[in-house]
Amino acid sequence: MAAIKGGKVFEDFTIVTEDFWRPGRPKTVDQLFDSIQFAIDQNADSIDILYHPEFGYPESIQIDYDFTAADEEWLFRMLENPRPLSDHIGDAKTKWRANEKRNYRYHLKFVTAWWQWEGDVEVVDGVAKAIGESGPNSDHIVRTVEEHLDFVRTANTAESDVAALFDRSNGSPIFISKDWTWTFIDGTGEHYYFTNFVFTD
Amino acid sequence: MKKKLGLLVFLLASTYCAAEEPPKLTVSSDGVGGVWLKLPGINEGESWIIQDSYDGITWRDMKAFVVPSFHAGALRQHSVRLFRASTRPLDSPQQLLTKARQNWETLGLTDYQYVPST
Repeated sequence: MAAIKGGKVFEDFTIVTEDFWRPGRPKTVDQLFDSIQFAIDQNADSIDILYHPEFGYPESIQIDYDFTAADEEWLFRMLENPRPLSDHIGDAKTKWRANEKRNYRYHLKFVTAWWQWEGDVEVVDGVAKAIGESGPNSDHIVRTVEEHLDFVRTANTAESDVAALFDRSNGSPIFISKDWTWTFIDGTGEHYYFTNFVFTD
Repeated sequence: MKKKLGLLVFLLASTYCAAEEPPKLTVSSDGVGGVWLKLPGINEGESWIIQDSYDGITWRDMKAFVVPSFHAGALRQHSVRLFRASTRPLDSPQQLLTKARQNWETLGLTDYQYVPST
């Protein structure tokens, strides 16, 4: 997932191959266009691009610079189209509410520059609690899915860089990132990683 | 392998030779059973492709027999070079890119997320 604000990448959580996100790889849509332009200028042997007919962003890219060479092809496919985060949140909420599930469990890893918490979270009848918790209190991060979605929605302001990735089938969060746009000391912000999501009812 | 093709392949053979601009064909379906092409203003029908090759971008060569029921007389072979028969536009990669960039810039989206797959 790539999150762009003001035309610049501020989050690039990896759910695809590490190679895709290596430095120099195009990430913004403008960078994708630049890379296609480069292939055209270089007279690549094969350039096969599908663009969105109305909004223009590349939906799939298949470029082979040299038919006789191996491992220089560039394959790209857009799984979720570039849209504002608010649209992604809206979709996630719709999918989640369609589930009508109030009992579930997930594993949460929460990381900031100076604190980390990791554990299982159980939600029963719409109330979240940490399982077997020890150490610092985690009440402020142990939430139901609805609360996480609301957190992302309210945190998504001009003062914050917020990115989130949601499960495409049920809308539950997979990854959330929040950082202050302007800080004197630039840290990593807050990162939430969600795994092992299961319904228990 | 033979494929069924629209009657317009035959019609196009003569049409294209006389026209300066290449006809803009689109493929409305393409499967094992046949290829169905559309060309505005020309009726659709069926015929048999005996040779079909294209470079994937700008041109497509076809030779086809016209199905007798659609054309009086014996099977007749026609050779025709068609500009790409596909659902995609016929512009060059550069034209497509320029147009796509304009569409994207018109949208004016600078804060967004997307999910890619490689």
